[in-house]
Amino acid sequence: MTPSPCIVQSDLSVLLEVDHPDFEKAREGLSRFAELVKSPERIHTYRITPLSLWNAMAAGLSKEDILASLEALSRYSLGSNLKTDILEQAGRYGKLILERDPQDQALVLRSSDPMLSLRLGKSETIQSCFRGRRGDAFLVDDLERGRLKHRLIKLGYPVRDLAGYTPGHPFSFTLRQQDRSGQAFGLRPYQSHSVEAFLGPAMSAKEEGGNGVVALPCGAGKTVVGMAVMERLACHTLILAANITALRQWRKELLDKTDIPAQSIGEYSGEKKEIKPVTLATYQVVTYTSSDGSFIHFPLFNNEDWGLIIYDEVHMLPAPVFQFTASLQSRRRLGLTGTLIREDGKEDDVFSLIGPKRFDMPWKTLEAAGWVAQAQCFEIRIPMSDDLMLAYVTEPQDQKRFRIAAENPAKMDVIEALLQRHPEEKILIIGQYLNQLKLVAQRLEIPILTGSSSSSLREERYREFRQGRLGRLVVSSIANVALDLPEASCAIQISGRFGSRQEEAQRLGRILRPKKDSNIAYFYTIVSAATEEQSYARHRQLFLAEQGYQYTILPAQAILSPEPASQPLPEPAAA
Amino acid sequence: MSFLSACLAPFAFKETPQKSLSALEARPSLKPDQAMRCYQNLAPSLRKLFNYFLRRPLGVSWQEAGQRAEPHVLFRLADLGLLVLLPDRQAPCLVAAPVEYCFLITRLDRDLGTLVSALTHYKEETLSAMAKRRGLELPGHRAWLAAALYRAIVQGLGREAGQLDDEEAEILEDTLDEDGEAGLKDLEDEFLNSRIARRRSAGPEDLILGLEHGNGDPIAALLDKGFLAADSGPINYSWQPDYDLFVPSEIKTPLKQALKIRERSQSSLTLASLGTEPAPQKTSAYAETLWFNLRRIIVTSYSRSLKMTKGGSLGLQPLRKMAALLNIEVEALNFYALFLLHAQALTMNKDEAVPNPGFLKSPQDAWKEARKRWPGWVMKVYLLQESNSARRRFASQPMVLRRALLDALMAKNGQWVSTKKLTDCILNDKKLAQKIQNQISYQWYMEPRQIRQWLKPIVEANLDFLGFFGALERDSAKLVARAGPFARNLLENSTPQEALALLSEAPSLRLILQPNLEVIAPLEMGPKEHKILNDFGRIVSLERVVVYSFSAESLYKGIAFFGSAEPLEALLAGSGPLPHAFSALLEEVKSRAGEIRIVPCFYVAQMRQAHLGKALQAIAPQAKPLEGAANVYVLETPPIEMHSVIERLKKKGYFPLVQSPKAGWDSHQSSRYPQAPHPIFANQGRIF
Repeated sequence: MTPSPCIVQSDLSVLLEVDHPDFEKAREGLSRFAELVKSPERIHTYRITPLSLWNAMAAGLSKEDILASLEALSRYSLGSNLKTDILEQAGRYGKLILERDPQDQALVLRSSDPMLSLRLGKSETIQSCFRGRRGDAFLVDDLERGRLKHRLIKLGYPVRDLAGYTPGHPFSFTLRQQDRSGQAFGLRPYQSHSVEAFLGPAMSAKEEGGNGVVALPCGAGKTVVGMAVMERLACHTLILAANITALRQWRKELLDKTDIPAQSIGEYSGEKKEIKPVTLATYQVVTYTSSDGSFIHFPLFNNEDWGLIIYDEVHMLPAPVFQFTASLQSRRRLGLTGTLIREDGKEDDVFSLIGPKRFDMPWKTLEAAGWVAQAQCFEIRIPMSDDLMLAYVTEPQDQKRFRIAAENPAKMDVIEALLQRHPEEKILIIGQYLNQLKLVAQRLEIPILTGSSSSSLREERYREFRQGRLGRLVVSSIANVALDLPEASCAIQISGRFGSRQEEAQRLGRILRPKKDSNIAYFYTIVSAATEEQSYARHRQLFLAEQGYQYTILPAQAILSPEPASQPLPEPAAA
Repeated sequence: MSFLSACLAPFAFKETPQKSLSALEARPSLKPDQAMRCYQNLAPSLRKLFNYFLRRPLGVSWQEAGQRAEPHVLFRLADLGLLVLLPDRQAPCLVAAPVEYCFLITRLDRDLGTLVSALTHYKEETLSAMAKRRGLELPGHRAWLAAALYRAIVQGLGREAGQLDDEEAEILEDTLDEDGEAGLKDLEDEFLNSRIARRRSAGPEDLILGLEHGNGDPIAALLDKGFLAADSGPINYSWQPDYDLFVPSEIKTPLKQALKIRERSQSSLTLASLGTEPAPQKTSAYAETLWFNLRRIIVTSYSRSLKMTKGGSLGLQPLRKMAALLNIEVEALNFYALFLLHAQALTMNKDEAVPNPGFLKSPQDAWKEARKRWPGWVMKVYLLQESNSARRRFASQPMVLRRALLDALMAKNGQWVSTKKLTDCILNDKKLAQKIQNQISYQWYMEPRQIRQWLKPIVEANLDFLGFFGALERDSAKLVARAGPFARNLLENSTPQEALALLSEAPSLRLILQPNLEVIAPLEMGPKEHKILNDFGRIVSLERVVVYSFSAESLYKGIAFFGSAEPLEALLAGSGPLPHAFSALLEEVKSRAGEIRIVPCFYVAQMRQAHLGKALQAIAPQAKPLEGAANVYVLETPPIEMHSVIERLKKKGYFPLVQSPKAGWDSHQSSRYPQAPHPIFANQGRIF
């Protein structure tokens, strides 16, 4: 008899054996009440957290269901303490219910546990969210709904929010069967699952679905998920995007894959201030402050009857929007991200304000299914000249020292060699430092886009790149997110923002859209050997390594050798 | 009507005196501000009365009370419901109202002791809820409500007596046997209060006094610990807060009668009648998981040692950290660690408990050594846990009792049974009781009830003992127990030491190497292998498998410890090819380890005469003249070899002096040697 596929650890992490015949079944079972933490090639790690348990309860599972499922999946019997922990945490769900009083529609918080009720009444941080008592219940200000839930989660008590959502002004449309180019279009299975997971088992104004985060790898079609949710909810929608490029990509996708007329899509940006049934805005414009420090565009959130707010690239959510989102709890909220890693560690805040993670999928699973390109990752280590090394080791400031290594001029030869090695690929050269990028662009005669490039220039360059008139492009950090260039199949990263895992994953994401032919993408990172840049690179790669990506580490000679450029590089070890 | 109710009927206020409760209840409600004014006006008299009553918690005669307050004051107080007049025509008895009124009056003083005392009582809302639960009407005034409630509680006390467990009943019985008021005080202290104390580790006073001065909310703390009940919402009270309401001395007799009836009504329990208890929430975890947890602790202790305090116990902080990683209770971990220390699996090294090198070298031999000490060391470990009181109990424990306990448990096929019932079952078995008495014949002079009382802790101690060896499992509250899978083996097939030897088995199992620099190792893998992984990596998760995470820093640490990465490479080699990221990192660390080499020390020999240098070189050829310094030689020699050089110089008739570089040049030497430090020492810290 084959042993069960999971090992449940006492710290509530669950190790799932990938090669087990019941892997798929176990993955489905686990994902209902545990969060996928990492998915390297052989053992995937899930973690059962209070939040994941509460989400499971919200989705209709009972404590007993969770335990039974875990016991069935576990290779060994579960420890009694572990069971107790799960029962205790799961048992907290439903003790607090936030709902509308049917008489006057006031928002009230009720507790089935008198002790908890007393505790809340005495807690200063919680009390400030109340505006009084009504019998055993607490009266809650509508604007405090998000803050209250956030604080209660921090306290360890989730709120079952049955107060419902504003349905929003109705606005119906349908997804096309074929996009405008005539290609067949439909939701992929995992996209459909994402939509269902977000909306919850039964979509009504009182149900608890309708807020949360969908995490899918870059290039896996998160925009399509957003559009499908919009179609199902059929209401006025506000879409917040990371930048103007992303905003226009949303517009392009909406026009391409839905029957929404162009005049119903508004742009609320630095250039235009349109408000339409579907309005696209950037984080920058909504967080724009006047001279007195007030956010002059925040009324955008409330002045229109939005039924849905979509936070694209939710991992970039700026702090002011964070705070304001706390007061938007009556509207459905969908967060979309490829990498929910915040280097400031505020992932939990995203979960509590936007909503829990409703759906995610291992990157490698999508790669195996062909929904994203198969990526080959390389780290090329190049030496520093003696003079440069002397400057490096004697530089007292950490940031300057890192920059010396990152701007190592010897990287130029490697870039050239890589360009020769991939003459047919559409290549993005991505970096952090403008001087370095300009030098590369100048020497290799490649167009460059940076933050100072006008949006029209950017649009033009991207269009040329998509249409094949431009094969190479040098880009700064503006290309880190929300840049949709499906044709790009090779990225050369020449410098980055220290050890940012999120940036590394996002940059890889630029080339992950499925390719027509071989469906292979190449991701090169060039670092100066034996420097802090190399150490940071290791940290940057951590998230992707946990997603199952393997980096092949090569010395510069492997690229610069006089052998024919077509000589294949060593491939990562087989999974 | 129950027997007890019947017993208590004379005290149920059927007849009312001049100022009866009924009359009080019929009065229109006083407004709160009026009541407070009355309290304040009457405060001096009332406080005096209460001070007296507090010392004598039960009823006090009218006459006696009258000596401490004017009769009109008493009537006035009774009118307000602050005192209750018991209906005795000949000698009306006055019973103190709940102590909270004392609080009402004295709380203005902000006296902490009074506050603490008062907080043990219900608030008004709670009183209402309690009264409602008892089906009482809810008069408008708090005092009347309290009086009515008090009456109901007195009745309830009698009912409660019928539900006492043996120990409580015995305490109550013994207390009631005593004469005079001292006995009544005992009743309160030993029976009622001790009953509460058993449910909680500390009293409300301890809790309040434990709060940092000025910080912390005493009400919240009391609520948290259950000393105060909720004011609203569904009520699920037991009667525990009532213990501060006093039992009139007149009910002593009916209580005694109730206890006798109770004793007669206890049916003789048999094995078949044990029944099955629901599984507990938390077990004490040292039964079925004993072996498993011991191994986990040993593996963890390779990298996270436990520290000993000056007092000789294991430090709480390290215990807590390790307990968090292992997800077991701190108390259980403490127990395990002591076990392992005595089993020599852990040793104390500079006040730190670390895995025993001998155990690592040859676990089998270590256990054999431990086994020789049977039963001494096992007993010692056990007694460490059970303290001196257990030692006394254990010294005379009858083996037949322990065997009987196990038989009874095994008869239930591993189901949970109540330890109380189990104890009763054993003690009610006449034949068994006879055997036990025979084994403890020196106790022949004891009354049967005394023997029973004496045996109870022994039964408890034996249950613990059996649990210690994995023969049975208990819940953390020690309310239920069940036989563990080792029980029969322990009894019939092997000794506990043989079971312990399971720990030393070290099957060679394959590791799982992950590209994200993690290695997953089975817990059953040998301790040597775990040690190597611990030295090169760090534990991130530990249960049936141990997840180790590696980083450049951790690999450096391992290489620094072992001098090379060979142990790790040899260990990982048997588990297939290393993931590229892992091997690349390892190669990088290996190539860079030692890129700066720091020599711990070297010796400088300064000669007064040139020929002495030749003599030194004859003995220590490694001595090299220092360029640019006359008669100065440098020896790159480990300290241990330097010792031998010096000895040989002495044997040759020289008189070398050795000085630690830290000591510098003393005044005696400086008079004979250059004032400035030698260039070698002047360069200290800037060699590279």
